[in-house]
Amino acid sequence: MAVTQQATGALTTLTPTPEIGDAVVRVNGITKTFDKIEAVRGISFTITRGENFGLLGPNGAGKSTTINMIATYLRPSSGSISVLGFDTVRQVQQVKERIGVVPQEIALYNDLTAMENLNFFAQMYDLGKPIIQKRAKELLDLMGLYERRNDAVKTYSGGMKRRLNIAVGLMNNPDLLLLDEPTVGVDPQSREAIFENIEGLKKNGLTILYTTQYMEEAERLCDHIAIIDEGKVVAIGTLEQLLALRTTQVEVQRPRGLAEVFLQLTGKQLRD
Amino acid sequence: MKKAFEITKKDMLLLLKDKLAFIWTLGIPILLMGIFGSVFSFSGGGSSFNAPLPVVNLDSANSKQFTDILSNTGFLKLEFVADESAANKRLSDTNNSAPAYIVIPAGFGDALQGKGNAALRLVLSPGDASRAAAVQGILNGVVGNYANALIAGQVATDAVKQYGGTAPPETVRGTAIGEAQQLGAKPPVTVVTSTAQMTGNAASTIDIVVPGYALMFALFSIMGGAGSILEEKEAGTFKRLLLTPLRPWALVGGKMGAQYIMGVVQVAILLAVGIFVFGANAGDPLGLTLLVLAVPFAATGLGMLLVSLVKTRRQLQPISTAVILGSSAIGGTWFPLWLEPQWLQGASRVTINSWAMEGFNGLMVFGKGALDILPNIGVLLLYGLICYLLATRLFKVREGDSATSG
Repeated sequence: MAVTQQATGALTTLTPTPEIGDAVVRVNGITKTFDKIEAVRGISFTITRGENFGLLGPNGAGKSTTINMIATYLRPSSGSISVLGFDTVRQVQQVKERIGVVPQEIALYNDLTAMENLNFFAQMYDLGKPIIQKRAKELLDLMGLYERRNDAVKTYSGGMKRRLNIAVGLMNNPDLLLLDEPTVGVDPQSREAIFENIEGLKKNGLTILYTTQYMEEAERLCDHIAIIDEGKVVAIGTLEQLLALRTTQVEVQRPRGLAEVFLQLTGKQLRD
Repeated sequence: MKKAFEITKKDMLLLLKDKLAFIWTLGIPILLMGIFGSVFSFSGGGSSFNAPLPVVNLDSANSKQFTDILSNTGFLKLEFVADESAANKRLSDTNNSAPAYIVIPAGFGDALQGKGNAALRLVLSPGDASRAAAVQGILNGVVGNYANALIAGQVATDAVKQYGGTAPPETVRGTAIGEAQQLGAKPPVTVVTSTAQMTGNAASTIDIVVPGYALMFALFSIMGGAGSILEEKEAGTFKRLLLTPLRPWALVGGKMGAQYIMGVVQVAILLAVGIFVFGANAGDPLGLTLLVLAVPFAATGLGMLLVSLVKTRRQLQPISTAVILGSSAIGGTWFPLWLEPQWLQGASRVTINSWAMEGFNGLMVFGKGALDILPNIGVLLLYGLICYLLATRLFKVREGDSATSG
């Protein structure tokens, strides 16, 4: 895996990107411009089968825009993305059928029950009724929501909604799960439960793209991490490779782990 | 198609879960329709008057003096037609229809010259009671004056013949009054009034008010319901749907489905209340059923199109209100289409209301059948289809076009 670093605004390739077999996602120099705002500026990375890949960045870094382009929701202004060998612009349906997306917002019908939500979204993938029933039960069990399956979502706590939000993204048994900041606004217990769920999914071989702005999440969950800022990848590699940047570039005063590297690479100015 | 059906099913489920909203959606329009129906039942209609009046002239040119007087009243625009069938047609022609027509019988001109008696026939439209009554009043006034003038002339002539200017004025006056009274009991020209038999029952204002208000409230309800797409956009579920392998046509179609079903239910219930509670004329049941199915289709399509053009519910609200009230005003929902100036009737053809109300009025007021309103049904279905296709296209273009955070 390549490790890159941006020290003075220029992107420097520290080690060449190797040819990766069994690539699930190939992002190749994508850019995205909204009117005159360049939200993503030439991002490239590859996600291999079974890995949990983290996109780590501050607010407005381009994480959601990138994940939305991978999910086919947005078209790249330039560059290309392939998911499981399918082009995200020309083969939208094939991509959509194989991915599961957990959006940043809790995208559920509050007046419907958990079961009704799962059932409805599963129907969009043409799944048969027996499969839906079986899958829904498994996921509700996994997320600890089975007992409340027939309650309206509006009666759920924030953490329960977040877990159901993830369950909906898994209903079609995807080959790739895109998680866009899935722990925003949840209590520590629910966050821990979500972490355990994601670790369980990874253990089962699911490929995951995980965006977050929390270092500890990336440290704990991700095999490879791309730190992005202002629409560009400023560093990419395993946790160890990124931490190695700290020891070589920064005089460590106290053990702050990935956060130290993150702030070193992205700066300390506010990103409101 | 299955996915569209699932979306429709989900929206219906959401709608039914909010029972109070469901009840109010149907209850408020019924209440308001009752109020408006009662108000309009007692009101006379517009004040400014200039109605077309078809004239079937079976007499010689001697009656021209009379028709000139009618024209000179300034209230009637005479249209000379060949026969009663053509005149009758003008009563049910929603393109500036006539509220009544007259038949000038043979010998009417002679009667005007004091040679015999003649009765003018006035045939009123059952669907345009207020204007028909006005025409009747004008005609009775003109004919009455004419009859009085004839009587006066006759009396004066007779007095001259009888007395030759030799009798005392009191004697002449007494004789003249007696003769005038005799002649007045059987005036030389009269008006015989009847109502055209176009429907089984005589039409009333409620026949116009009921479909008009049913249509307007259905439009409000359907447009509001179409806003559920925007609600989903705000809640994030719309984006989630776009991330599934769901085609845009199925998404828009599925969303339309629930609104369409609700629209059909609402229009059907409002019309049923209008017919069974307020006594509106149902007309041809097949035609009415077709309209109940076609009108919500067009309205739902329009709702989807409007929703595809805006981004938030706040944007939708004023636009949909303007569209509904504007199209109701010019499309015959509040006032019969035939009361409008010709140019406005033409302009109103861009509205659903115009095609729908022409159909409803045709059935409920003018006694037309399902076949007669097929063009209206066709236009309404086409209207809905075009709006649906445009909405699908615009939704496709707009998906994911805005910046995302993070």
